[in-house]
Amino acid sequence: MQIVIIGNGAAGNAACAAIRGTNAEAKITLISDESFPFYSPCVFPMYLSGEVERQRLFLREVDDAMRVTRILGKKVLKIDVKNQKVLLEDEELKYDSLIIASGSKPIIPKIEGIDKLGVFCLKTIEDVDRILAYGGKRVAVIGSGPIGVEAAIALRKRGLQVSIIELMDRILPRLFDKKPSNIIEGIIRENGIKIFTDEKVVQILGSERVRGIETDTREIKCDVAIVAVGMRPRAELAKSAKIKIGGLGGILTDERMRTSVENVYSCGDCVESYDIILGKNTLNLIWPNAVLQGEIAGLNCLGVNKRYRGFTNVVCIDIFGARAVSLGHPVVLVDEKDGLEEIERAYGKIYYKIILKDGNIMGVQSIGEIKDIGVMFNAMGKRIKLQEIKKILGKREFVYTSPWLAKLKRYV
Amino acid sequence: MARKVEEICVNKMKVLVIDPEACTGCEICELVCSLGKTGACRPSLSRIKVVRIENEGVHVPIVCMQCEDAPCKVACPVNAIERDSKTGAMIIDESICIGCRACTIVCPYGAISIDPKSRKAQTCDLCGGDPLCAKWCPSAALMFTNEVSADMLKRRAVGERVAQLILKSRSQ
Repeated sequence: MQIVIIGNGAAGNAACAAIRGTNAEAKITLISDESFPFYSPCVFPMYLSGEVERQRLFLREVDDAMRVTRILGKKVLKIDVKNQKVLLEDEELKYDSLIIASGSKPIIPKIEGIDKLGVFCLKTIEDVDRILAYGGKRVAVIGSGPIGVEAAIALRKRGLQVSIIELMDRILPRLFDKKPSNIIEGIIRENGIKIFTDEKVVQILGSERVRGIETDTREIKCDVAIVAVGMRPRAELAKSAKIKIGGLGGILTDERMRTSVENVYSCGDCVESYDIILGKNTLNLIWPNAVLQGEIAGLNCLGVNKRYRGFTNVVCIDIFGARAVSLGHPVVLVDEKDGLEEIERAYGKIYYKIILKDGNIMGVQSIGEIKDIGVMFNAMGKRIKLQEIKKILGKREFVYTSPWLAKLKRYV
Repeated sequence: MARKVEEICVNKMKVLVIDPEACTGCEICELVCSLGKTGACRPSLSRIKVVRIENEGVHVPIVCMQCEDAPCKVACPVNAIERDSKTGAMIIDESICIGCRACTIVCPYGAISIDPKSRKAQTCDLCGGDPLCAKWCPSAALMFTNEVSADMLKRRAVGERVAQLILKSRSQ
């Protein structure tokens, strides 16, 4: 059995581990166009801020036990699905099962001057190295998704002057509603980062190197510009092999992570995944989702029938020591607004908000206090209504049947 | 990775069983847990927590359940969480953990806490195969038994409850 995996990220490596855990004989080959060993981009903010050393980016080396042949630094040129072959620059590999875990790539917006020296995006370890090597005292971050905000905070911790420019009316627009977003904004501002919301970047100034950014209302002086406006699935390779791509730009798979082509599986950021809360396909480009899908793809290519039941958004951001958690989706992302109900509570430095639709929990946003929020996440995934939780906790016999809900008593 | 049923029976792996009905809420488990882990009786540092629902007079000890498909292991972005092959406990490697709390926000039991000093995640490691909480629990609300008898205990408890209900409805 010859299994080829494209991509050396969370999904690819989770697939490796799942395959080796079940089958000792299968020959696994992993190809990546990056020449670095398996690393975790989730550690980038801590590395950027100088809290951890570079070595910590790389994850535990388990290749000996896994017996994986890694071909690093080489691009896959073509997938020949008819003859079940993967073509590299100087060799070709036959496969019985192929797992595409090619991940995602940053969106580069069409802004004048985006190709100037000092403009970076933030996706790979090379990007981080380049940012750190470039130097500069003033940084402007374009886009305020989790990557932009975490990068801004990390660079601020390094002592740089940082500003964030956001097109929408609030920061972290896909994770938080207006009020929690404003609270987060307040904490970030207190720590000396400038935030400009509702502003569109017109052009990047400077002759050869970046000297500033012009928005529709002002000019911001900076030496470094970090573009963090979002990620898109890397699905070109699959597209050229005539594998079905969905409307959002990700590879389409069934619940066993099989693509439209036989013996080809796909998992991770390059896939459109089912969202259990919204009940439709979304792009859920987060680490746990990639690991979950990778495991399922790995097991299914060995013939083990394991299904992906869907996942949802779960993000935790460190805002200068205060933790902000977003589970599920904010109000703007819920399609039908009928029957929406919002429960908000704030005391001291703690704030939380629960979004309900017909009693079902659609999203939870919490700042400051994150203990026990996993129980909420689990209840959300199981579609347990908030009313039901209240009912269960109100009667001794019910508590005995599902005691784990006891930790939710402060939310009901 | 899913362990096979035969493997469990051969290894006679033991599990920590919680019976909230038997719990009196004395919190001795919290004391011995913190004593064993930190050398001081500080319930706030305990890895097992007794949740009290005062209105109903119910106490629920909550601790890591060592899930088969553990969400914490999936969520950890640095692969710091591994299952111990001997005890079956999920072990968080402190030297790898970056304190990002991804595990705490997905744990379905809320059983992972953050050590206030090291800022790293910590959870029950079954005390290396002999959990103090179960040893010292005075009301048998916490028991450390092998998986098969744990199932039997639960089944028996449900059976007894159903039997009581039947008897009650007959007498009415």
